[in-house]
Amino acid sequence: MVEDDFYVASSLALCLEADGIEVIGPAASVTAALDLIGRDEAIDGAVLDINLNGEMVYPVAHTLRERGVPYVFTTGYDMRSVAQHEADTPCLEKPVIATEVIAALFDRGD
Amino acid sequence: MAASSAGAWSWNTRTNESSWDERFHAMYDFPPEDPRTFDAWVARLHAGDRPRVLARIAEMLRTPGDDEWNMEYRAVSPDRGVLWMQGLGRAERAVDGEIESISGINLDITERKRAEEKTRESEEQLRLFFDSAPAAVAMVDRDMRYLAASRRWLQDYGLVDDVIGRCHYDVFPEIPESWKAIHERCLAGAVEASEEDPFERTDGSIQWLKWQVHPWRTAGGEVGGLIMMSEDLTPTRKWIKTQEILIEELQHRTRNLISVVEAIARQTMATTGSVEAFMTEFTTRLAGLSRVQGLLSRSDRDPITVGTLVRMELEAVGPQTTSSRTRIDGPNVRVRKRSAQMLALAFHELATNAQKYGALANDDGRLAVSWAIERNANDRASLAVEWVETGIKQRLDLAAPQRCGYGRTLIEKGLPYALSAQTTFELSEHTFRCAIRLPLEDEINGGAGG
Repeated sequence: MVEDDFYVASSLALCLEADGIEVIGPAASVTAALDLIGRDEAIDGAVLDINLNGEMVYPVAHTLRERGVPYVFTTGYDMRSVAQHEADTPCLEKPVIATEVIAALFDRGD
Repeated sequence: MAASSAGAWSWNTRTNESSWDERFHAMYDFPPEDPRTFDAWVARLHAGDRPRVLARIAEMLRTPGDDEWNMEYRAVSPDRGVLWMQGLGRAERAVDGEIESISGINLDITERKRAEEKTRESEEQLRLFFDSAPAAVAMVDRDMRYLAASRRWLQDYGLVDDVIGRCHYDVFPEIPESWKAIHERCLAGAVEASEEDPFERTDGSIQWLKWQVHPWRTAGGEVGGLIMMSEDLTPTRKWIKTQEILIEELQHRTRNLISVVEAIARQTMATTGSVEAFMTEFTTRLAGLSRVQGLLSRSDRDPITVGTLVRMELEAVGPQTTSSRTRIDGPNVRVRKRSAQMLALAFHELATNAQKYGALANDDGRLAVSWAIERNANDRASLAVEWVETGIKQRLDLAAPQRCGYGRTLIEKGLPYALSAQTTFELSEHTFRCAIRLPLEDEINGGAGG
């Protein structure tokens, strides 16, 4: 999970864990996120906040895409503000519900 | 020759005898039997022009070779009031060079002068209208020379010098060929307009204009020139862009707020038993959230400072927090918007706990809040806040449930996570100390995003 807001991060992490999901992170920045990914953990999915205190999360998305890890975006802005090259990635508007995140990540194509 | 026929006259300068014909006599409305003398004529001259006329005569008389008489002057008729006359004549000189006589004709040019006056008046009126019109308007002749330009026109285009008489293309050498073509078409009778057109100035800046050009016609019906009107859209466009950014920010903040409220509800629920206890704590925390929103909305004009946050949260908890038992001390340090919300909530928790079981729960305890800017070895600045309560009577150690809840999590986990802060909690016999150290530059992103 990559999310710069403490409340949003802890809330979502709590909900995901209640559903039996192990949360790696959360990380609040691109650097921290890449660091987590680099520790070679088996990652089944990722939820990424697009705007991390002014920094865009796209480098993290790119790395995950290369590793074949599915991910979804969350945003406090309009969904239309997603970059062109990520137009096909599911984007959820905040506040997000844990079940929506799980559905978007794992129910695709099933 | 003009419709009004000329009156002929002659004046012998030596004998002062003069004569004139019937036409001349009638032009000045002399009563039929009145004498035809030089003095009678001088008497008819308008007082304002008489000195000028006499001076010219005197000049001719004393100047050898100055023989041409050509003057326009006013005369006053007892019947018709002020008349305009033109006198044309020649001097005859004797062998010794002295003038013997001056003779010539007189023309009544009153009509022409009145027409000129009217034109001048309406030109003046037009100039006045143009000048004061709240729109940018300019009037040019067929050669694109300015006849009039409103003050707004000068303002909008940053023109300092007077433009009247100057060619539009000299005033604006940067006018593109496409626009010159428009002028040509309008001089031929077309009317053209544009809702939005970029105009690149010589300094490289671009003005966005809404404009309209149409021909104006003379009394004869021919095109006399152009009237150009424009509206500078640039300030409006800038304003619209600013609004768009503000609205986006507002939307983001609102969505974030809802997420935060949800999280606070969840966390408060985890530590309170009854619904009443939940409601009390939850609404108090929401109030804290609401207070800082007000500061955030105004923060572009009134930047938020550490002192503002501390005082705001202490005041909200109750009067005893602002009494002489509380000391608040520190320089004017601005906090970023994103830090403000979390810091405000942290101070709120500290203040509430101080009042419930800390220094402010009894009559003798004291609270000292101070902050300073510190620089480390790499000259990176941090804000160091110290919250010190002394004289605590109720012995609650740090493991007690009251001190392990929402507030402590916020300060020990939340601030480090969101703001890269370092925090410490210390409790001894009668003292509680909380220290928060927060980098003032954005160290997480290494300066990215500004």
